[in-house]
Amino acid sequence: MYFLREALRNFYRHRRINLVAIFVIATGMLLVSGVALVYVNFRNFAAYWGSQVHMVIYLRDDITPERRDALRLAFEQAPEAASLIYTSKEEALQQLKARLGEGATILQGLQSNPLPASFTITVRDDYRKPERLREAVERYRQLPEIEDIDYGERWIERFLTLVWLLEVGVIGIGGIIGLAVMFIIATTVRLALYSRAEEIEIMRLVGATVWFIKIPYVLEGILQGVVGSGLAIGIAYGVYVALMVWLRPAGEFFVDFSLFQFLPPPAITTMLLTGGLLGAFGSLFSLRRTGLSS
Amino acid sequence: MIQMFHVFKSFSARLSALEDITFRVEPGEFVFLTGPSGAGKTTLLRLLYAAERPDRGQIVVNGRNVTRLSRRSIPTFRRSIGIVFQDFKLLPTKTAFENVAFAQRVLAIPERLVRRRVAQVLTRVGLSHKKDALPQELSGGEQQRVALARALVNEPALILADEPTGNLDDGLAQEILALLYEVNADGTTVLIATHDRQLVASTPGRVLTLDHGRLLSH
Repeated sequence: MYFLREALRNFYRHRRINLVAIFVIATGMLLVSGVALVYVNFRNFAAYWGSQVHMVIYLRDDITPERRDALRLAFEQAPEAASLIYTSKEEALQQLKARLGEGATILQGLQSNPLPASFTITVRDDYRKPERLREAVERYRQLPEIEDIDYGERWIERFLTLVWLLEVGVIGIGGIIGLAVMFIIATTVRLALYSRAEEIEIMRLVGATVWFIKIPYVLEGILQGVVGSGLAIGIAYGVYVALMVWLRPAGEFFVDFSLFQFLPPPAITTMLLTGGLLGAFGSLFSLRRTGLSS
Repeated sequence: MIQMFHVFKSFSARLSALEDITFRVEPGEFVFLTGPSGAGKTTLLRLLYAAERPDRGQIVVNGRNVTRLSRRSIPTFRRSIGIVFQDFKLLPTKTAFENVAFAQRVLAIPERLVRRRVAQVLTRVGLSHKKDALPQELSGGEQQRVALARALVNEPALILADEPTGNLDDGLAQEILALLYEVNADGTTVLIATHDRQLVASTPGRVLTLDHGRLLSH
């Protein structure tokens, strides 16, 4: 309790310099919040888009009607299937002609219909993840009647690569900013220490151990880090809410706004804890540099 | 209580602060360490409370070999002695009460005991009515009494005072000296470094004289 009281007292006493440090830390953490927010929402959209591709299962031409019906039943009952559409060879050709429009004349020379029949499975919500889709596809590829399966795998892979790059970017930027925040805190504490050098000397003459002197400074550093991070999160939330209010009326038709998300509680907690830790390390680093070592 | 054996200390090749200092102070003694400014009085005191290390020689204070103390042991050692400085060295942002209490809090003494003991010692130095005053709100004499209270609060066996009356007028100087005498009468060993010959002459006590880093008489 003594240490906490001392830290709070010192924090208030040197409030100007502490406020400056807090604002600078908040700026740095705001950058981290922004990047993290982009990352979180991009992941949501990546998962959603990646799963919008329907699974199209192309059948071999020699499939018997009995096997086709058995497959239909099996696909309808499959856990990932929300709905199922069967497209016969003739229907597929008609659809292609419709899509080609005037260009459909090139199909007139065809001796036979090259297009396969297919089942199109609309995937259920909880299966709309690339890994689960892949697993289902591998299962279906084992069936002898299946010619091919299309679920837009190249598109998904590219999205996953992009998500991975974003993760690396977040960690990289976060790491650099984290170091910067730590140095800011170290500099602030060191400035405070220089102005309190005589006080520290008196404490040492009275018999205070190095840690007895250090702990209030470390707590002060933690406080700077946590308050700075909290302020950054608060500002980020305000900007997020304002953006949603501004964009939603115009964009609702094109985009599913339920996919947008602010930083989840674990991420917020992590940011606050990281701010506190950076504050602690910044103080300790600074205390070492000013000669107050054990 | 204090033993110095052939202690040497210099701060540069040309400037020797102390040369071949040997003396003893018995428990319960009241001793003046005198000499002109620059004689080495402060350096000698700093050696006694381990703020400096001698180049040669041994120093034993209250049964502990100060020359062999590790850095980690110094805070513990300092808690067993009371130090009073010419410039008081009070923490400027703490009240009189908090300044004295600090010396107890470093020992992790429970708060209710701290409050009781600090109140007792402030009463003893006649400042219980000013316990909530900050140092800048106190006179020089009052500040020195707070510093003395801080030195006494842990009931040390030894008090070291470096020019405790240097910044005070004669009347206040006598007050502080009287308090130190009172403390000595209770059994505490007192060593006062001072260049004030009048003070030394007017007060009973053994005298050690330093001149240019050498002890002239003991």
